Amino acid sequence: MPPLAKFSDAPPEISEDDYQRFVEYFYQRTGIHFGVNKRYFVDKRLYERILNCGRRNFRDYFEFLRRDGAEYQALVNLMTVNETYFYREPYQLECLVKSILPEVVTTLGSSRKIRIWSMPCSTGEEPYSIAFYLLEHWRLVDDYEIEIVATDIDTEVLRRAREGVFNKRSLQYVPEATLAKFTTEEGDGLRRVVPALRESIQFATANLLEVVDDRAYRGFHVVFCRNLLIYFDDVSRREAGGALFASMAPGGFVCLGHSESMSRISSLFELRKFPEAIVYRKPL
Amino acid sequence: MPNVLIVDDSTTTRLFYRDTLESAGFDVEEAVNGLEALEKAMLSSFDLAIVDINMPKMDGLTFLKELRRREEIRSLPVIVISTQDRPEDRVKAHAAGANVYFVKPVDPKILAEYGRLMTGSGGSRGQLS
Amino acid sequence: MPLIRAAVRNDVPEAADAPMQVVRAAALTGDAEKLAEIAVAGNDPLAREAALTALARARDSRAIEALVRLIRVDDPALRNSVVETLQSMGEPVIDAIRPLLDDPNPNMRIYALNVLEGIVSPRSARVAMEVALADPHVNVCAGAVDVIAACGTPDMAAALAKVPARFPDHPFLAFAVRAALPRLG
Repeated sequence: MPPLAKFSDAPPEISEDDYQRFVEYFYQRTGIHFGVNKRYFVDKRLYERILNCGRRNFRDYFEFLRRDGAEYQALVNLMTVNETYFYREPYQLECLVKSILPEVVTTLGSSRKIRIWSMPCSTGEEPYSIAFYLLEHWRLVDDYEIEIVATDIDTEVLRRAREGVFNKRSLQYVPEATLAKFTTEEGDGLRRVVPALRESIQFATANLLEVVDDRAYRGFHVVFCRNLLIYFDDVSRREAGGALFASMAPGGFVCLGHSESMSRISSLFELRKFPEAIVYRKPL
Repeated sequence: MPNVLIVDDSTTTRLFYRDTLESAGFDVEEAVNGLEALEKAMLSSFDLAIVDINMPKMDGLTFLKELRRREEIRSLPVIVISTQDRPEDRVKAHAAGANVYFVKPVDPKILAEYGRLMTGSGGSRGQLS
Repeated sequence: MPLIRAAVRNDVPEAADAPMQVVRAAALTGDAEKLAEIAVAGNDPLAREAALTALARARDSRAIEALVRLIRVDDPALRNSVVETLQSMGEPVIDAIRPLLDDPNPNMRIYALNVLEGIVSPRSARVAMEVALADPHVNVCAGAVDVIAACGTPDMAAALAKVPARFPDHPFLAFAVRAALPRLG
């Protein structure tokens, strides 16, 4: 960690014009728009980054930000809300069951296998949520073989994901009946996902940009790629969009994070609007 | 108030149209490329779209084609405003589904006037085949 | 349990990989002309994207030149992707794109400025300023003002303020300059 610069006086001034420039830049890059009511939220985080990077003022920092991929990533991380928990963005799980899978099954031909990729899976809340939700809500769940692949570049979070232990806060949106079926008590208010489910999810280390040649990462019918692509720089995003596209079966669907849009990432996918959500599809 | 979607990758251009159209009594939303425009058009209802041709990720012609093949939004009136000034550019835009084609720079008074004409401004939504 | 563990290996027909293999081979050997050819072919959107991003990664003069040549294609979707690609390739592009600023076709000059707008550097702004003060076409000057707005510095304010007077019949240019001035620096 580099030593933090100290401001000799008050934090650097971020003028109205500076704020506008930043907001425009951020909107252009991510599709996320900060209004005037977000002034405090944004300024606070900008101060932190300016300080952290040892920059003298906003202008200096802004110039640096636009050249440095690592700083861009750190900034976006700070500006976006990143907590993970079960049944986060539940409308996407609803969409999976009500709209996405009914279409996917029409593309399977004689195969009964459905491949789902959760990436990045972090500590496992997302892939387990998908599993729980499918088992509870998809009436055709027993008619197909569902493979859930869950990957991340961070081996530590993967270790925790395989363990499958979660606290009350993480599980708060999962109905009691579902918890009773798929988790066991661990003490200290913790619950552990049952072995059959833990073992049925393929957890692995993978970097999207590196698995493009790996045949194990092909033919996915649904990909949950939430809050990953938005952190990449321009070229990496397009490459990632291409890698994602290549990993999918024709007719496959990808779900991005709530505040993300393919309009900042890739031109390869087709926009689909379902009653529950907007998703993107690899053309048939 | 009628609702307009402004689609252009230039921040200044979007601001210029916003200024003009808000003064003419429109509510305005923006998109930086055709794909974002498509998303917004599918999520909210607009009475008019002002669309550039040259944009990253999805250009104006592709946007028009996508727009016109989608049942729920295909009747959205579109004014294309582009720097492309050849007759064939105009023809291509109309073939893709543009209702009106202007070459930049457009006079703000004319933009406002066309906006009013195409949305039957005063409340009822203009429908153009 | 309908959830089954994913197989380690997945069977994908060889043919599906073929276009991408061609791209990868060209990328590995640094064959910029081949990559540009693939981008133009346009029958495979994935191969086109992969070819363009491979050129972006190459960042060498051959890649830049191959892309600059592609700006002339009469296909807005491809051309815009090419502009996007060049925008991500940094300072070396500025010199390569300069000749296009003298092109007799004002649209070519505008595309060149679009590229510069993405290369956030005071040099982009200086080049654009020359255009804004001399180009005969109002849309080209507007494009130049956009570049100056994106990467200009406060010392450019005085020169920028002179631009609207060159086209007094076009309110957009005055508007653009007014919008650009607070963004300098």
